Amino acid sequence: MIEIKKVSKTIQGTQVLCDIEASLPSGRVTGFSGINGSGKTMLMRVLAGLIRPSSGEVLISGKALWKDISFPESIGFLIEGPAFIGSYTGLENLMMIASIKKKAGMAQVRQAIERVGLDPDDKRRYRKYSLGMKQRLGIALAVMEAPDIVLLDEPTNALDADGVALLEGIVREERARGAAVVLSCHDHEVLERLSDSIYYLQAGRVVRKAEGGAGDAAKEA
Amino acid sequence: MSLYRILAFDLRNGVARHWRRYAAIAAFFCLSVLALFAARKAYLDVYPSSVGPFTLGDCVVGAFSGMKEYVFDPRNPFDFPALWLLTFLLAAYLTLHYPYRDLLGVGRHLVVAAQSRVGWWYAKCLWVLASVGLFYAVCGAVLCLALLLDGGAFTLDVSPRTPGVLAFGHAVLGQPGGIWPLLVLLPLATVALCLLQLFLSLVIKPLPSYLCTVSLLFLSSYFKTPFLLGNYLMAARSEVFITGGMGFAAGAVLAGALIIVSVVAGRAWVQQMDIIEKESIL
Amino acid sequence: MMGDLLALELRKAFHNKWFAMALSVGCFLASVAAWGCFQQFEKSSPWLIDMSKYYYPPSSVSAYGYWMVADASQPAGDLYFLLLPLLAAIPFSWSLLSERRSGYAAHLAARVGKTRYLVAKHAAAFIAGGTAAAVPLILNFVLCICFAPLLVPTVQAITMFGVYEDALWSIFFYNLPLLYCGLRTALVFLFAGLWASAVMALSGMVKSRIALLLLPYLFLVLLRMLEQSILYTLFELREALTPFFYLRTVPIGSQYTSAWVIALEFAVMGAFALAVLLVRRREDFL
Repeated sequence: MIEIKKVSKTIQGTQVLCDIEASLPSGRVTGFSGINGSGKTMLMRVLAGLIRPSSGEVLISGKALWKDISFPESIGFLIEGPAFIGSYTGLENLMMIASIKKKAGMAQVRQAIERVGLDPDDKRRYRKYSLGMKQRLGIALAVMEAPDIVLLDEPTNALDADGVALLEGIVREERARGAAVVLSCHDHEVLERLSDSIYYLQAGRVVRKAEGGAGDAAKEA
Repeated sequence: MSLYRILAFDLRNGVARHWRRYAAIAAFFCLSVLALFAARKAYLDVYPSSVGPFTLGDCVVGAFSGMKEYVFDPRNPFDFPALWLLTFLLAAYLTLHYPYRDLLGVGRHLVVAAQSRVGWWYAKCLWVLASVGLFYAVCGAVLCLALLLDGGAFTLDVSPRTPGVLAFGHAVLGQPGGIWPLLVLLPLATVALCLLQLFLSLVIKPLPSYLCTVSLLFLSSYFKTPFLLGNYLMAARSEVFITGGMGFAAGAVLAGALIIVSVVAGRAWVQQMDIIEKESIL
Repeated sequence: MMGDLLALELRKAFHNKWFAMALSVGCFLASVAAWGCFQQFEKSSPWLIDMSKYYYPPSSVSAYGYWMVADASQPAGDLYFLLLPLLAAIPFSWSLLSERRSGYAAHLAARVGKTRYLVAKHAAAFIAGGTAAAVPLILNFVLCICFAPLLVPTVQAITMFGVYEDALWSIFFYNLPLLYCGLRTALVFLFAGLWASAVMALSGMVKSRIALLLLPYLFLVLLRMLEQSILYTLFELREALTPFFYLRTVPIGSQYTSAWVIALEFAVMGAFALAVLLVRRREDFL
């Protein structure tokens, strides 16, 4: 459960987030929608603990980010596109990052790569990947350790139709597993289908909150 | 625990992956040895048969000789010690870019996974330590190899003529066997220089911080003062060789203070910095 | 179209923070050097003017002698010339690599053609690098004439100036000093421009922008090291090979500035940039 309480952020005199209030429960998909520069990515960065809010606070399971904890204890994210080491394969890249927490072993990492439609035994280096493959690997990184919080910022970027379908499946699985999934996406149809609730951002402010269609889809399923 | 895992990651990605750089360092030290042999040849031309094979101590002193104190004279404009300057510019280059690039790239995931910005910072400080250590290990290996080829003795004693060969100036005392303070101070001051640069690279970005390093080393060679770190990196200005030279204690205190300040200030900076840019321009 | 493209590239070259940084560092060092000379002038000018009745002509304290190209007494001036190749490359040499990686280069090349795009890019790097290097020299000169008289240097004060017969263009220094300053500034501009352009030409061979700017610089320091420690010692090579010294007037040790060496180095830099440009216009822009 994530609670965002009156979070604001000012960078070099420009207010990029303004009094954001939101509640992102576990086992739910919360969507963020808005035009370019509306503050979606910045909010994701705040939730990941990468940037410090100028005011307000973010509570992760009751613990205040930047006060009680430096980062969410169990989180996977894809923010601003994937960032990996170009000279390693996809599997090597994920294994290296997994070695820090040791929460996911080889089996889980391989499974995560397969979930996004990539081949874990692909010997090509990351720099040889296409944009879509890079994006898929980024999604695999976000979910490989079965984190409590999954942040996906524009995950459909560069994905083909199959990729989008796979992504939708992954998001639903993560929701069903009980993770708090936070999604920002330009494709409003995808966002509508996947989210339980959607926050609309404009110039760094939440201007509207609406229900999404994920609950109905889950019931139908 | 996370600290060691990040460090292992750094050693793999920031050291092992950059083996070519260390090969280039080895090639550079070969040139450095060649310069030492050239200096011996020039000395022999003036004082025939007065210099025998170099010892290991001679080679170390030759590789890090620097220049004697510069006293301004209009007829003798300042000529920066290129060999010495390049030695430490290479050490600084080795430790310049990786941490910053890491933090804005894959390092973001490591910081979050490790749950600790401080852990990430300490791992980078230890990585600097390891990189400088390897830099000196490569240097040592090349010097030993050169010594084998030259037929010199594997002793840290410095031959009495060596300060003359390296043009240390008139105030040479020549204390054979007494270069241990220099051997300790060299890596210590190099670590201090690189950690200061690491901290600055986070604050003002890598390229400006490198400009600061070049300037610091230049000013150290121009002014003989105990407050400029580079002075402790020169054998030609060490108290081991000249009266009134730079002392071990002062050097150790300055280097130690710079290390502490850099680590503490860097820790404070990393704890509050926003990890935003995916990749900076420079 | 070429004019518009060049104007666009020049706007990018002159309106970025790295150009501002390089120019600021250069101007700061030029100002510090001028301040040092001013203090020296204040200390020595009464003595020199008094002594001039006996030994030195008044031109000993000429502003031409304090100009940082001709003066070797200020550490700030020495540091400026040590940093000059870096300050020339910082403004814009990284931009081709940057734009190729971001895909921006492909957009522009598709609109105007690869050759035009590359020519404009190199021309902008040349002008921005040259400007970043030359403006501090002009600033320093202006500051020097604020305190020292602009007297034509006389040969009687040759030991004060250190500009001897074998120094490059020394005849102009003692006869047409303003022309001398112009020529020297042009030399620095030309070097900095060619260097910036040659560094840009390395874009395809180096992946990191930091490496692109620093490795060529370290190569120059290496060249100076070879010159100082090996070439001079073993082969008695006396010609200054690096811009750290040949861009200045005062000779270092027994080295001197050779016009042939400068011409050759400039030709090599220019030819390298041109050759890479010709090869690259046939390459795919990936």
